[in-house]
Amino acid sequence: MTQLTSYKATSIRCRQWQDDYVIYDQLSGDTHVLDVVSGELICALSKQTMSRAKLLALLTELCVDATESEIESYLFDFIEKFELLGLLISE
Amino acid sequence: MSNLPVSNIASLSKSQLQQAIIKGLDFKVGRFNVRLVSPIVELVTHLHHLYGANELLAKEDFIDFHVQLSSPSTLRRYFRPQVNFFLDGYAPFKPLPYVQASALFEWGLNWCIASHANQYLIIHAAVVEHNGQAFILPGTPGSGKSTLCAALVNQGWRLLSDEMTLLSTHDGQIYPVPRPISLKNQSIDVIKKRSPQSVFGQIVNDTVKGTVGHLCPPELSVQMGEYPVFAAKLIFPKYKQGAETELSTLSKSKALLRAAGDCFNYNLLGVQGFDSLSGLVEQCACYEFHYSNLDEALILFTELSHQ
Repeated sequence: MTQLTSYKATSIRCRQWQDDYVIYDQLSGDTHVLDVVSGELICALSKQTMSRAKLLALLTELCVDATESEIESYLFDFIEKFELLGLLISE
Repeated sequence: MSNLPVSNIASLSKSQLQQAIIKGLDFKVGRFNVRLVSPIVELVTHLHHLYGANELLAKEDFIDFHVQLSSPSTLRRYFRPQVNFFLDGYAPFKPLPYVQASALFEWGLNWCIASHANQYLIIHAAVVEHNGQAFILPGTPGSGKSTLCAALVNQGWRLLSDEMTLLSTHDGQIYPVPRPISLKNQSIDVIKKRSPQSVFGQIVNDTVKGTVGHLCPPELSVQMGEYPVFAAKLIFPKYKQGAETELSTLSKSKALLRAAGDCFNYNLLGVQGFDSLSGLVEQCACYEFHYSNLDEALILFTELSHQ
């Protein structure tokens, strides 16, 4: 995985209520409830393609108390999980 | 609204009703137009008792559902009679014992609406209105939604439906389909005891759902069957014997997921279903409600309707 890889979330609808995000995958018809951090990331990715570096920067803004390695680990898991669900496409 | 007098089923004598049903009785159910054709006498009694307030249609009105109930024309009709339900000549169910004709009519009409009215997101939920607020009560069989619905309606709440909430995908309003309230097993006696003036249709034993009885909807609710209302509360009831009356707030995300699971056509409608349901959740206060005492439940719901 390089910093040059970019990601986008296609065909999803996002709704946010307080700290809860609900997303609807128009391709699979699945509905998911997400925590606020994953929700912010996936909704941002539904609006624009983002590089890994940009995602890291966004994640750092969202998790001000987390260490660099925690953020790296979170992003790794996030990408793996959401690619598996078919919600995230890497380019 | 027209000032012309409107004929309803109650304006027909029982023999006129019987003649009409044999040829085809056209009547309104909420915004749906139904034609019922049947030689079954028990259905005449069912409609006479429970559909009196339903408006009769004019000859030129479009019919949404052409329904027929009849006995299979085999020798079986003489020793173990059965009844079939048809929509446009198609029988979606296996025949049931003849004595269950009225229950089959109700279940069949549920199926007609749930399978065809995809201009609505259809939630398996009772829906009642008080003070201009619609309360949606989704629930699986046994959750106590119909009993709660019947008790509220007997206290003067408007019935929109005891079985399916029709949420318009176009304007986000709830469209009524006021029909007899289906009560099962002990619920029948509970409601009869609380409201001895309640009118029930035939009590049918030994159905797949146990003993079933249909409670007549209030006349005013049927007359208001054209008028939609916005939802204000989405409440997931759960009856449990001995349970304390407890109302707890449910997050909107959890409410959306649970309501999606209670929809008949959420997946079919795709993104339109999600948009409609998320819009509904957005406008509603969402709760879980556990109860065993109907009196306490009614007090709490009345208080909620003033909030």
